[in-house]
Order: sequence, then C-alpha cells, then structure tokens
Amino acid sequence: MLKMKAGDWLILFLGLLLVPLSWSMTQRDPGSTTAIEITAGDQPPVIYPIKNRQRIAVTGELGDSVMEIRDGRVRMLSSPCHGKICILSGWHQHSGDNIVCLPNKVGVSLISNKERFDGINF
Amino acid sequence: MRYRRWVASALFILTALLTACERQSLYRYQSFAFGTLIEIKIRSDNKSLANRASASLFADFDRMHNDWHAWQPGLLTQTSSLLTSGQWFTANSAVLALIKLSKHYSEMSNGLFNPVIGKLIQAWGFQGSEQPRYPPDQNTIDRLLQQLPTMNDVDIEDGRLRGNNSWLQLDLGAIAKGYAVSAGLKKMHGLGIKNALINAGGDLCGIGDQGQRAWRIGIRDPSGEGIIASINLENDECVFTSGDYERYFTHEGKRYHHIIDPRTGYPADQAVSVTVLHKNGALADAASTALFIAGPDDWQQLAKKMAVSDVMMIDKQGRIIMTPSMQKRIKLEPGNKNRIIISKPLT
Repeated sequence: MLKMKAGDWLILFLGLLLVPLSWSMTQRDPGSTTAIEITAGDQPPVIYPIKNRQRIAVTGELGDSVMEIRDGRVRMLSSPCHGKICILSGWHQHSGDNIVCLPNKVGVSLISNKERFDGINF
Repeated sequence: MRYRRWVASALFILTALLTACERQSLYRYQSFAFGTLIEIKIRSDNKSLANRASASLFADFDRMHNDWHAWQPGLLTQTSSLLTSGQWFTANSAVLALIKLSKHYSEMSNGLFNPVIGKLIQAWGFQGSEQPRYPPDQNTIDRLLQQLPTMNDVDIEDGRLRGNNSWLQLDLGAIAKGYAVSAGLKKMHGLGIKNALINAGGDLCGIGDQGQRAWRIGIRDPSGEGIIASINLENDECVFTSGDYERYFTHEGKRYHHIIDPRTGYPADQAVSVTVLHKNGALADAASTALFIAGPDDWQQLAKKMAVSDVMMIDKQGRIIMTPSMQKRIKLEPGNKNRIIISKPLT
C-alpha cells in the first residue's frame, strides 16, 4: 500500500479547507447599511454610499425629492408629495428599510454589501 | 496512488458543483404599486426571461393597484357605489374574485377582517396621501358603528353582487397585496421562473430558493431596533406582518395607528404586531390583520378558525407569543429568548 506524501496531504488539507470556507461564505455576519439605492419613476436605480455626508435631489413625477445622508443614516428632507409621510418617517439606518414617496414615485432602499437577509418583513 | 486519485476526484466534483452554482444569476427589479415600493428578485440562468417576467408582473400590479384602489375613482369605487344602490348588478371580473375571497375570509375571521368599512377608515383619515392630524369625534364614530356594514351585507350570486347596507364602502387594503403577490408568483411559475422573491413593502412571498440556501427573511423588531427573528421560506411560502408602527399619527400625546377594530371604531390596541406564515398570500395578509385586532386573548381561537398555524404575536408588554409550529420555523435573534411564550397547539 502506497503512503501519502507531503504534497498529497497538502492537497487534501486544501480540499477540506474549502468546506468550512464555503459554509462561512453562506453564513455572513449581519452587515450595517453601506449604501442607499434611489429609484425615481421608471429610471434605473442609482446607488450612493452612505458614508459620505451629502444631499441628493432626484426628479420624480411631481418634482424634486431631496434626501440627506448623514452619520450613516438617510432621511427625506423635502418632497413635493402632499402628505409628507416620507419626511415624517424621519431618519432610517437599517439595511432593508425603505423610504417611499409614492405620489412622486421616488423610493429609497437601504442596502448592505453583507446582506444577511434576502428581504425584511415588517 | 489510489489516495491521489481519490483526492483528485473529490476536488474535481467539488469544483464542478461550485461551478454549477455559479450558472444562475440573481436579478433585482423595483417599481411602485399598492402604496409602496415593490421589489422582485429572480434567480435564473435566463436574463431575458427574468426581465420579461418582472415587467409583466409590474404591469399586473399597476393594473391591480388602479382597479382595487379604495378611494381614487375606478372599478372598486364604482363597485362600492353600485353596492349602496341595493340592486343586483354584474360585477367586473377584475374585482369579483377578490370580493368573493374577501367575503370568505371575513366570515372565517368572525368579521374582524372587514373589507367594507371604508367609511370608517376614511373618517380616521387613513385613506389618502395626507397624514391624519387628529382622530374623528366620538359622534362620528358612534354614527358609523350604528350603521357598520359587514360582508354579510354583500350578496354574491353568479357573478352578480347586491349590497344591503347603504354605508358599504370597499377597502381591500388588508388583502390586496397578499392576493396580488401570490397571483404574481403563480404567473412566474407559468412563465418558467423557478426561483423568485417578491417584497411588497415588507410583506414577502417566495418560490424556490436563493441558490445556496432558502430565501432568508429577517423580521423587523417593532421597536425599530433591528431584527427580532428570521425565517427561511420553504415550499413557496409568504410571510406577512400587521403592525401598529406601519402608519400612524400622534395627537395630544397619544398614538393612533391604521388598523381599526370594527367592533369599537378605534385602532386595535392590544397587540404591537402579528406575523403569519402561510402558502396563501391573501390569507396571510387578511389573517395578520384579523389576529392583530383579536389581540392576545382571542387570536389563537381565531387562528384555528382561519386555518393559519404559523403565527407570532408581539403584545403591548413586549412578549413574543407564538404557536409551537411557528417556534419550529423561526429563529430568534440573541437576547429575545426570555420574552417568548409558546401558545398551546391550535389543533
């Protein structure tokens, strides 16, 4: 019976290493919000990092909606919709959160590059 | 040599499996309907098919949104108007199936899911894009409760409808999203999509899986602080939550939310949220509302009657009450285990 050589053990070790590595890739840690994705009307969504303090204006069906990003959070600062529900909802910081101004057809989704969940139920 | 062959074979199979996993891509689409942002995720090896399927679903959702809108003039407001006439009329097929199903679920829920109290919801200011500022006065509520219609006031016969209460006003907000999302996934199946997840503003239904695992859903803590639990969708399921935090206003220091108890005319005040897991999105949607209104004392009996077994309720004291079958499915986040109360089996 042939004995395994050092190289064989190395290949076996690397092969076995792939198993926990693959497992860890599917069990990612919860990630904090890293970006926001803004959808306006039928336009393709645009992604902005959440680490940069900035104000973003997008044009919807009724006019401009302005979002503010600060300290890893985002809020709707102004919007031409009547109810202002999106503004009243305040700051959002959790990945999976949404801010929606339906009359203006502007939506903001908070996303993470380490998404632990495929969707958030609330 | 045998070991070398064995190792080489194992690595080859592993590589082949990993390569096979990479063949399908995850496509993501967003659009607006039902007063919220709708997200569709499709895992497929056919981008063109995914594009067509999502576009077709969004067109359907847009049509349903208009047909079933509770206060913008359209099919549903016309139907409400005809119901108040007291005469038989032929219902439009775009609303008939949903009204039939609503009647069935309303009966199952002992009337706690009541989709004909549009006037009461309107009085509270929850119909419209304006944020309500104050509750209706007691006289208004008393007057509406005296005449309060139920689905027993709606007769259905061979595609025709007749209303027996002049205060009937349809508001299908507690079932429309669930019905639409389930119908959407059924259509996806027909189009050849095997794996998809639809997120309609926090209510979700999935078919198939994410690829390496099931669709994994986080359930938001009603306190607003992150996730309270997670659940993996299996065998084409939906997870719907009704909560007092979704839409509300504050008046003189008191918070009023949008889930109105048809028995009192006021927002139901015993629960904070109810989560229902079920294969049928329409039932999950309607049941989460009815069980929320039933509250911690009565929800189990009602859940049994409505044939939903996987339920989680968070009450005003912050207790997490769930059925044994839900306990088997749900994974609570660390730090919540001392809050759990397991209910008796519903059967």
